Amino acid sequence: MDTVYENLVFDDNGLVGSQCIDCKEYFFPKTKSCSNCSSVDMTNKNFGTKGRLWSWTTQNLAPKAPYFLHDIKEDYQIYGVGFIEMPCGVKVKSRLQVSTVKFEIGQRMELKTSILEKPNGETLPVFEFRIEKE
Amino acid sequence: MERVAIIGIGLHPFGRTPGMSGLDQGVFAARKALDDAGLKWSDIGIAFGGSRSSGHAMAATNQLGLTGLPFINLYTGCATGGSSLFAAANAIKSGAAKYAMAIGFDKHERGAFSPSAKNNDIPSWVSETGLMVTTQFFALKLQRYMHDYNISHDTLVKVAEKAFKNGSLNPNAWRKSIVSYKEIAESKMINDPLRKYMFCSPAEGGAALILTSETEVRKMGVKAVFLEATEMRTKNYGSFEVYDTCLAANIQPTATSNAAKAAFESAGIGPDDIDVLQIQDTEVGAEIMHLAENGFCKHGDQESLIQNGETLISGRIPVNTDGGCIANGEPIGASGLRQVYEICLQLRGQAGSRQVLNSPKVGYTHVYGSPGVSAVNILATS
Repeated sequence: MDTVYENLVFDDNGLVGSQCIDCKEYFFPKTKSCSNCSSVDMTNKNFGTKGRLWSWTTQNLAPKAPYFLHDIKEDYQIYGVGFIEMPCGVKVKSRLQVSTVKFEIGQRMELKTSILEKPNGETLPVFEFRIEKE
Repeated sequence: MERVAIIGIGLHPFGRTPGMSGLDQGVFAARKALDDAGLKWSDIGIAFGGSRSSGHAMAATNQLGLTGLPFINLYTGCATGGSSLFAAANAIKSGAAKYAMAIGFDKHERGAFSPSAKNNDIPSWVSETGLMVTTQFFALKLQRYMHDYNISHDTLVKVAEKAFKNGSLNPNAWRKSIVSYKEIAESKMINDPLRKYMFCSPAEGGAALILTSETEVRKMGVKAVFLEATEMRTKNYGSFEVYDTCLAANIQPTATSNAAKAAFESAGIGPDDIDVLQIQDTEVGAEIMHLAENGFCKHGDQESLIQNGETLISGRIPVNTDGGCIANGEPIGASGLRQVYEICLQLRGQAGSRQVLNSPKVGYTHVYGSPGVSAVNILATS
């Protein structure tokens, strides 16, 4: 699996974070050291593609720069933000796709990778979660 | 160890003051505090100051006087005022100076803060994809809390209603008009469940406090408010704090809980002994959750506490009697000091139409800042 950029690693097979070899704690995104036990022995861990909604909100106003799409005020699309509790227990902060179904804590969520595109053609691959299709 | 006393307090009204820089407002507050203490700037032996948007706090010496004193600039996000007081109090305890000043000021642009990912050791894609907005953190923490502890939307509105009501009684507040329940409940949604009138906004203002030792207070024969405890903590592993990109499987108590616990231990008293309090209310959920994190009720008991009016000025535990951050706005450098200023007024019986009845004797302040900093103070009249 390739690094998207910086320490962000994901594709349709899952989100990749780190696990501390010493204390076994999980982190997202990938990290160089463990903020629990200070260890620098970290290994990659694929958290998978499915989890449950632990908390959520909506971003009703366009964030300021450096938000990638901040200058497209006229057709601003509200997006959701949430923490997804993955099977290993770590909760990952993610954009949420908004649909007609209201978010509820505990909902089953699935990973959806996509590309954010600016009018000038610049693109940014992003991971999002959406309510799992029945 | 010898107690630290606050002998001078000063404030420049919060809000918007065209024609005055943030620093000007800090200098105004410093001069007020010096007058209040009956001291001159040249008496101050050490100072700690902070600002986010108005330059180096030390530049205030250009106006106050270049006395050559040690002046330390510091910044701990919205908790900057709490940290400057913590540092100044410890300077007095150590004997570094006879008189210390904690000063803070700011003048922010309109609109929400735009925090830097890089300055917080967070990858840039987090902010570029819209995941590093401070207000999202408040909403995410609150949404989960409301689910876990059955806090109602009605209670959120009531906290904002109280803030504007108290602000209307405070001549130094930014928002001096009452905002109705309906206006709050129907205001624009910002981050579900939080609406426009449930937030504080970045603003302008200045505040300053002058500290000395208890021995010095006795020598001077002046009245003072004593700092029974001043504690500060940063986030510990597993706590849910602002800008976190992931949360641990097992969530742990916050920096706020840890600072509060340390302060009560250090003062040798408990939350039931506090007569009037200031709790960081960057939005209504923060006030609700911080009440329990600071030990003033069990998690979930805020619902009945607030519904029964116990946090009103006339209630059992009056919270944010000056309108808090919601009615005063937040000039980051000054905000934590404004909280202490208000408690001093209350303990001195000088809070005018918002004075808590029956002569409050013990007060409490709590400030919270990014990326997970909490500073609390316990103050007493004797």
